[in-house]
Amino acid sequence: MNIVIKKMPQACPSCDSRLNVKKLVCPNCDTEVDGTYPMPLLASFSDIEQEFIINFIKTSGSLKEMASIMNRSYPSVRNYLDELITKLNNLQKNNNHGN
Amino acid sequence: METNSHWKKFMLNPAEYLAGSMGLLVGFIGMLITVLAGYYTRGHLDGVVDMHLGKQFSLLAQTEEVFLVWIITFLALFISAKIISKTSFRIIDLLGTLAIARIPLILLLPISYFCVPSEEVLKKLTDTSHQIAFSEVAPLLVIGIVSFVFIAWVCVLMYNAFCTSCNVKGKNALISFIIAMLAAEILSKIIFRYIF
Repeated sequence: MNIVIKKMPQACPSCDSRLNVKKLVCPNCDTEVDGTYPMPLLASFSDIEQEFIINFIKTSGSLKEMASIMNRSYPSVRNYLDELITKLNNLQKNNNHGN
Repeated sequence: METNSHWKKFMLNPAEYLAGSMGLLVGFIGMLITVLAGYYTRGHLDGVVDMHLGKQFSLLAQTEEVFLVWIITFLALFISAKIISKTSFRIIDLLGTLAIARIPLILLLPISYFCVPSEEVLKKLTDTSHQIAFSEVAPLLVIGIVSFVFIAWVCVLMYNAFCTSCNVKGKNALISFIIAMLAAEILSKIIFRYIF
């Protein structure tokens, strides 16, 4: 049996705007909370990017340790981090424009 | 499949996997092997991306040749990167990855040495009154094709080393790389004219 891994959609399939959260459900007692909540900024990153961010925090921001975890060289890890910083800045800018 | 793609990536951009002190060590060993290969094959890597067979140098002169080209290339690319890079970068990464990028030239030295035609054939080439059989010039053709492939490969490796080590990319990176390489080539020719 194939296990389907569901990905949370980030953008509206119709107009490409950033989606908000409308409903939250407690997995324990099925209580539902209805409302409009903005999506956390970090949710805009892909699974791989989120994994990088988590590992980066866990290693106290050590690029050397990150390089050994990722089996990549120090400069390539640093370049990847710079890409994420640029992405984060753009997301923040877009969010500020949206508000 | 995954390993295959990693290998392909490694062959075109080792800087993605190897840099820092380990990269410098590997590059340094590569340069020492280049010195020995050049010494025994009378090969000279006296330009940024060129190679030719010539007169026998002493081991010290051969070492100077290999290391000077490396330093000149590094300086030219370092200045370029300082101008266009928006982030900081480490000198050790650029030094090491550039040294690694020149490793394929080690293979080119023995290939050229064993394929070089005899002096008799070379004389015939300049003398238009003689007819030359294809089999006599075939080794020259092999050297030409192999040299082209290896030099193109080294150029790609150097460009990728520059981009990864200094965090530069796009049109600016390519233009500044070409300018730096041309400057380094001219500078190396001038310096070698005075030294050797």
